[in-house]
Amino acid sequence: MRKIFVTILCCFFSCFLQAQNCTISGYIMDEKSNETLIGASVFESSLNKGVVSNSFGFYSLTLPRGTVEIHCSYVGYVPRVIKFDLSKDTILNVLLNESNVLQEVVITASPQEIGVKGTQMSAINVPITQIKAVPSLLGENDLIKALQLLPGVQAGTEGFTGFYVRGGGPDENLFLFDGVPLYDINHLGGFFSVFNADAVKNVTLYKGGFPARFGSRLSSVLDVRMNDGNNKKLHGNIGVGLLSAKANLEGPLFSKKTTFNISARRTYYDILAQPLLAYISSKNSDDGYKSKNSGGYYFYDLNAKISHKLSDKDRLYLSFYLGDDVIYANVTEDYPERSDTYRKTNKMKTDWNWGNFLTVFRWNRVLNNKLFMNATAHFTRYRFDLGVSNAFTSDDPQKTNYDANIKYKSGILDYSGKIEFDYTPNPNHDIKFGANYVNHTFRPGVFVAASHEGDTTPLDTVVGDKNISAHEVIGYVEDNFNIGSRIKANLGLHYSAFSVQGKFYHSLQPRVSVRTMLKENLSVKAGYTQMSQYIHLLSNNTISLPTDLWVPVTRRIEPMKSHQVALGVFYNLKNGVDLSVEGYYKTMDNIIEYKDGATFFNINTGWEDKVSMGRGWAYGLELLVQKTVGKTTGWIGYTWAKSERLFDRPGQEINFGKVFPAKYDRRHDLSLVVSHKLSDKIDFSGTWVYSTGDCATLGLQNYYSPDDYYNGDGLTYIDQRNNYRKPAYHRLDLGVNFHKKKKHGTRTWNISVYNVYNRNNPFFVYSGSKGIRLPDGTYESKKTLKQVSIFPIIPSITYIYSF
Amino acid sequence: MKYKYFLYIASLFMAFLFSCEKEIEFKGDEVKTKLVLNSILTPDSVVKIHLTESRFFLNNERVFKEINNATVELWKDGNKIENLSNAGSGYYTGTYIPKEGDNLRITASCQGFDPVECSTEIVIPSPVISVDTMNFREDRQYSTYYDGNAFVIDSSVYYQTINFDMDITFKDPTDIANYYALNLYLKIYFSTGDSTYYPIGFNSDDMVFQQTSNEMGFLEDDRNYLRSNLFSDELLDGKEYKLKVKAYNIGIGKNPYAPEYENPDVIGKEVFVELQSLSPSYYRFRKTREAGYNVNDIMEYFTEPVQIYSNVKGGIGILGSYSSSVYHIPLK
Repeated sequence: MRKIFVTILCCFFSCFLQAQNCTISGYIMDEKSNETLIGASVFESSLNKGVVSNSFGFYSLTLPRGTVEIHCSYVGYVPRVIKFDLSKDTILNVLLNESNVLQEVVITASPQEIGVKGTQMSAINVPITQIKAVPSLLGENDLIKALQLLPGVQAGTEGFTGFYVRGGGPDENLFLFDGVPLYDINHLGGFFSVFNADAVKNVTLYKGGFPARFGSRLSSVLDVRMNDGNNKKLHGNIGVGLLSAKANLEGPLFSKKTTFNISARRTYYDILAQPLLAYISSKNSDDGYKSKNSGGYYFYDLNAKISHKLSDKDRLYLSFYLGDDVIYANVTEDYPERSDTYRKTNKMKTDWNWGNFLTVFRWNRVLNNKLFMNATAHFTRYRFDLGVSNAFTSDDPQKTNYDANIKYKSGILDYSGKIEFDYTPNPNHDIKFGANYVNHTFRPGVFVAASHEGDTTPLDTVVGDKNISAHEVIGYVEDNFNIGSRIKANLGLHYSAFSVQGKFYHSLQPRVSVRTMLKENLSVKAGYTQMSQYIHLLSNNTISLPTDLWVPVTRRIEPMKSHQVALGVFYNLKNGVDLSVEGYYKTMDNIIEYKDGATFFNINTGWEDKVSMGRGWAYGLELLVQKTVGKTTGWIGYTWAKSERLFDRPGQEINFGKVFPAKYDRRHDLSLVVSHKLSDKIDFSGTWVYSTGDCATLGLQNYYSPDDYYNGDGLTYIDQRNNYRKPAYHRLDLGVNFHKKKKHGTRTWNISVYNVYNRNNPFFVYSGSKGIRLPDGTYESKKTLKQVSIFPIIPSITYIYSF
Repeated sequence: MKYKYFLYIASLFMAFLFSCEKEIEFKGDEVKTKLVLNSILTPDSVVKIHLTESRFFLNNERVFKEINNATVELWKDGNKIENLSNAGSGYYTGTYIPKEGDNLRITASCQGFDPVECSTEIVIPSPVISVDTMNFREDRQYSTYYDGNAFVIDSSVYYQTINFDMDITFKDPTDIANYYALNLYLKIYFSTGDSTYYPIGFNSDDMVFQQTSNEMGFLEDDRNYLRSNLFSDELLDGKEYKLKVKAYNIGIGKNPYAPEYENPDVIGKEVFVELQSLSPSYYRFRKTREAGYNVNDIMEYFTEPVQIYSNVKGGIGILGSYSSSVYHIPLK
């Protein structure tokens, strides 16, 4: 045993003992914009050694002195070969040119980290160009909805941005926006996500095999990186669609050392509706009644990023995100009393806002040519504020004036500091380590009510759960290293600790991924991950409401934990077709669900009393065939999966302590995504999805109640939770883009059709009744099963002008 | 201005999205109807059960089909005691009178249905040791009418009400889980020589009554009664416990909802306190049924469905038992 240990140590440290080596380091960037490229490959051909650029585009490659031939490549870009004599440590910033031939290249794995040769499994990198190409609802490109088409990801309810990865719940996904968690990713109740594709540079989804640098959620990590901004020229685009208008502008600021990128998006129906409301208000009635109304709904996003290159070694970044959904209604009624002697006025106002604010300050420093540092400070706020007020005034002395207002507030505030290091001692090792501290303040939901009537004492009261403060500390270390020429492994440890309400939770989570090359284009990968999660989302499971509430673990509610093993085969065909088959098995402990009959609307009961803790498990098989080059690109994704839950702790039983299917347990999910570039002027795209129907809970029988009081239809017998499967879901979307070069840029008309063959997919089902006319003219009530669908065929058109 | 107002706004907001509704065919697994056996046993009555057939939820029948041709057997401690006789309308009765502490099992079989069986223990009542009433007060609630400008009190029409607080002391048995239902009744004696007896609502701040409501509660009108009169001994196991309740705005009279002048004079009032000890299965049935009943139409789409507890293996229904301890006290 001791010999084995010593051997492993020798292998591990041998890399540090090599002499006569020099290090090449630098950034890989887009030649046109100087935008850094994440996951680009840097490879020395004669030694067969290589690395990939990190999340900030930085790489470090240590090689023996002598003549080297460096191959730099990135999907969609023309590879570049640089040959030189390496005699000392060298800074080499490489500019790659976007390929005209391959620029339509679609979803792909970066060659080293995710594809056949990398250790990373269960992860997919999605180029933003592909996300923009997927036909979309109301022409609104949506990152989350594009990712829902990938195997292992389930969409949840029709039209929503629900995200269920490998049998996990909607709260088990970590959405990182420039490395910072976003809590609520939904607009319009979940029909659209907060990610504005114009502001995004890179998207990577991890479904398993999580590297140690990630944690805090059980089921997935979505790493979204914002564009830094073009440092050579001012660029931008404007777009007007059926739902929203948007604009993006990027370019150098003052000098080439500073760049900016700003994107904004807003829906505009409420603005268009105001003249109509004003017209309705202006039609006062004959009895002296006057009213003034305004109201509507909108959402907006504002993304901004400023990057500044202090020196070759130092870069500063400042990122903002601000997004809100707003519902507002203002009604003022004015009417006469007692034969116009007096007038009274009634003002009612509703303001309902929810959304995120995020700001990140980042400092990247190349400490030396092997060690890269990223220091981050960030602030995140998610808020849900609802305010309703009513004020009554009258000049009639017999009337009592009053005003009342109610506010409901909930949300989360996070302050965080993080420091991360990438250390690349040689091409055989890529070591990452870092630490993170987060101060959370959770406001689980508070009602503030105030009223004042006449001369009475004003009422001012606060009801609800108290704020909860929590501290989270994270530390990690991982090494991605070669063992011989065929085996590569990523070993890591992730430690997290969470202190809340005097309780201290912590866990040490091992992460292992191993890849074995069977042939040059065939590999087998296996991975094991353990994850812990210290926050929960209280959601009613049906639709994503802004009232869904993030809450921390407490003395009573323990952290969620998961273990996942995965095994996969990855094959790369010569004609640009990649194939992967992955199987996984995942267990989840301490997951929570609402108890029978519980609802978030009941504030008499604390949230801890509304939920039960239990466990779940999920397993499945995922197949992905993707074509990444050529004029026709796309993928076929298929998932067979099963996900079950068990809540059998005493006093917390759901389904009477028996196993039941998870809400989004679906046996089959199939998606087909195709893009075809007909010419530089026209390109097409289409998607077709099929999935087994979702589960729902229906009382399939009625029975006699022992007490007459409850009779009539009797009692409803539900044999188990989620006992009914809705009809299958399928849908075809098509889109076409017409591009035309203009004097100052390119004009694009996008025409897309959502749900081309008008399939009535189930949104929810319920048992209802309908009246049937009998021959004698009377009506009889007949019980029926009814299905509500929300999206019929929806054509849309969008205009985009890029310059 | 109630919180429900917000819910209506939210519902309206979502309503425009629900663009299409259609009738669909039920394509689930075949649903086989089941035998439904219901019986609540007490120590002072013969065993009586009720058998019906469950109904598929899309079946348009209005009544539940009674089963009168079943074989129903009563068992005690593994020994068959008797066959219960069909008494018509789905009822089956026996001659055996259960005793406190009995473990009884009932089986029923009928052609076309899976056989069913269920069992229960006849629970021992927990004695009510004392009842004290305090702060007794009689009130009159006068009628009002609107004269076109304001509400005016009509002193000629009023309702007589009583209000009181009450301490009920009882002894919870040790070592076993006990489940209770508390009922209060009012008996009124009239000058005409007759009397009336009816249940009254009450409220309590006692922690043992864990509210099961799914309504918002906040900003609703003050309630004079508990939503649930059920509680367990989770917080009081084995103790002699003083339960504090309050009964406010209890209408009195032959017809408590009629004005005072329509009722004869009241010459005496008596409160009856009934503490029912429930078998665990009966308690669970009643708790889940209450929770299901509390899910009203508006909340249905925002609430997890409730499974009502059944302890009938192979079928549906409830076999439970309760024993009562009753204490009565005159009101002055």
